Amino acid sequence: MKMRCQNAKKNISLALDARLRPAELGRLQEHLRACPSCRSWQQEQDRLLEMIRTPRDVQPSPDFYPDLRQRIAVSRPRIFAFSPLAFRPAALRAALALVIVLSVLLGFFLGGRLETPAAGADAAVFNQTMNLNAYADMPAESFGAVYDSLLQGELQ
Amino acid sequence: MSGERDDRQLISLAAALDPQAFAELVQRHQSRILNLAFRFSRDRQDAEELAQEIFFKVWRHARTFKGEAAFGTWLYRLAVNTCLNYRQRKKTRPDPLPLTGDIESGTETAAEGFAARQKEVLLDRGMAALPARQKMALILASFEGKSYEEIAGVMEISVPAVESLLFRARQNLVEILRPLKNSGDL
Repeated sequence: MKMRCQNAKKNISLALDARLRPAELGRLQEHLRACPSCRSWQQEQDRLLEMIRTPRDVQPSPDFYPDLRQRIAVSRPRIFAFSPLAFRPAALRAALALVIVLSVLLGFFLGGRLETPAAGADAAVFNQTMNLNAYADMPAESFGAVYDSLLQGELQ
Repeated sequence: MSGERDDRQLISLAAALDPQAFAELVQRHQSRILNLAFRFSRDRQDAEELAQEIFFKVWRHARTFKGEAAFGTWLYRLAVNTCLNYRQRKKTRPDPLPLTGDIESGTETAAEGFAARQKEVLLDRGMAALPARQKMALILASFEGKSYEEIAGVMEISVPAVESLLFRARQNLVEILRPLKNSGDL
């Protein structure tokens, strides 16, 4: 199968770090023989790598460690320092569990009662408010009384 | 057996606020960390500040080192994260290219020096233009000689993600550095 240029370039990158398997390397070399564009890209990468690897090492200045000690000295004491790294998974899980338990307890407390209302109580409230006789006791000529008479007329 | 203490012992002692152990740890790793920071920032002063910040964090977070990973991996992870955050905080301005009028004409040494400096500045500019994570992957692979597995561990990504970062870094760097190619230096 013929290797496409994009794949060839990816393989060139892997080959630079000696990460290409021998079989893949063979296919890459075959592609490079036939593709001037990828060959040019490979040469560019070789020169680039050489440039990048040119050593430009630096040494710490004589003040490096004294400055670091000074920085540590003026910082807050470590034992009291806030550190995000202090939050470890076990501590987080324990904190989460505690929050859930407290939330449930608070929910029960604020709810005031744990049992559901009796079915009979609901029925009584419904009958008081939602039956068609709810308007029967309205004062004469009130909207409720007019509405009641309309309802009665329609139903009869 | 020599009396030299290993990194794990030193970091445990540093966690217990032993300044001598911490000093020994810094002494042992400061050059590597400073050069990593220098390759990332391409600036001597920034590199020193970064290295200071990294070792400051080592001191602060010494207690969090539990020994699950090697000390070197832990230190590099701290260094890489610090460098990546530093880059986000402080956007570096690329150095201007040296002008031809800056060098004295007629001397071959000056011309060679100019060419080398120009190449260096262009490389600095190219590296500065790379996205931070691509640049860090390239530095770890090309300068530090880290394996893909080590880079994945330090950058907390997968090995295929390392491959992808390196490929994109190289592809981008070639595009950024076209002027060098056009001038015959690349």
